[in-house]
Amino acid sequence: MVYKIDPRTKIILVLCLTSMVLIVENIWFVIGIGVISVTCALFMRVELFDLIKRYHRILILILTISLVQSIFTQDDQVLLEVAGISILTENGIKLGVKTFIRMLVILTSGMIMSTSNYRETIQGLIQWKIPYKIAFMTSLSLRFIPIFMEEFQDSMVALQLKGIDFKKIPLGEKTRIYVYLLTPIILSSLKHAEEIAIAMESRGFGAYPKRVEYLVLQLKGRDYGVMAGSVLISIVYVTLSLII
Amino acid sequence: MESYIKLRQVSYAYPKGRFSLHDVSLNLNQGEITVVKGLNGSGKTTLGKIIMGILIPSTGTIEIDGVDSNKLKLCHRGSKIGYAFQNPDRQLFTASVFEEITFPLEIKGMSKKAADQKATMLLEKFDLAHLKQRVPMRLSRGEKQRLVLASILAQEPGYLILDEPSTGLDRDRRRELYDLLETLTREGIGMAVISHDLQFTENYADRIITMAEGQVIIDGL
Repeated sequence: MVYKIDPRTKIILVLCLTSMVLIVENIWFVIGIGVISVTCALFMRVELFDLIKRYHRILILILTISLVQSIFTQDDQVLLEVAGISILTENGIKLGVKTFIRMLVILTSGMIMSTSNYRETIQGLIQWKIPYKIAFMTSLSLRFIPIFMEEFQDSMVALQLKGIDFKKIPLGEKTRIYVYLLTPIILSSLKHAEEIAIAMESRGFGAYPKRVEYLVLQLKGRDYGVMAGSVLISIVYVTLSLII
Repeated sequence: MESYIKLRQVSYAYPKGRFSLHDVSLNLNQGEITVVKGLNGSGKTTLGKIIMGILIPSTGTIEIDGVDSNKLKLCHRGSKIGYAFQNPDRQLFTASVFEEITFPLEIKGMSKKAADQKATMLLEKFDLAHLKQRVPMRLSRGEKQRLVLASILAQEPGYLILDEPSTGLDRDRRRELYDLLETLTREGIGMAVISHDLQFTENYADRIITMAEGQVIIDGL
């Protein structure tokens, strides 16, 4: 089964996807990476439709950021002009689409990684000779992405229950609202970090310099295949995008 | 007494298919404290979230203040029913206690002067006036609960749904909170309090709803 591939393979895949989407500038190639990352997520059994339903507000936020970027980018090819001020330009739209897809790929990458058991992810990193503490922290941070998304949604609901209609407030106030929205999320992430640190220390994390492992991962043929395929396709893709 | 909230044959199933609420019909009235109790997983919090519109019922209808709840957006429900989450941290957003109450009012178009007056009045009522410049997240749990209540009441709702408001409070702080809730009820606001606290249930409840496996099994006192 494709979705049961080694977490290290998923790391390589995700690194390739995110690197490609950041390096490539041609819009059609960026769209292509978006399609590839969604396809990969589907293969990894990420429930995309459930994800869209649950996190549609974050997607709207990403879309809004992209739209703002699109509006504020100036170019000679003006598509929409109001009172002599260019609102939409061809270059602006391209930049907006690229921003949206880049964020989407990062979001999808996080979801691909979350399909692996976090203990296996840590083990994978350790077998790559990454120090256990760093491997554990990296894996933990990935695991927290869905939790932060949930907290973001809760905060959105709590704000609306204060009688705030997101659709009716002016843009200036919206910025203020987003600052309010981020405050509890940042504070709760700090609180989570503190609680985890205490819990880990109370379980003797790092008490002994050497660790023995019960779980040892073994890369299989399909893992090597996916890794090699990802790297090769990425190199070819990036080279093509630079040539064209 | 005219019921403020009416639920008719409301059911809710989680995406994985497990039923959390099954065929619940209830009337909730203003001016009374209704305690909702039951074991963990019996559907108490789901009931609260469904009334608030945070969860959408699979079947059934809900009427809030005479209006079909389907016609009410979350922001409108928040003006009719105040909802306090189990964890008050989820409802605190600003850098000062005072701003916590004024900012939604100002965003909704109230003048700064009127919002300030209202906040001052509410902070005094909830014994928080001396903390008005403090950062809400740094308050004690009891103070946070009171601040959440004050900010909810700034919206002038007709009903409150409080999800285990006494969690993490010591005996004295619980009593203070309960007395405050009783005062609010005497002023005409109704409330459904999801609680495991026997002291509160025995001494303050006008009505007790007991839930088990997503159903109301006892409704009375």
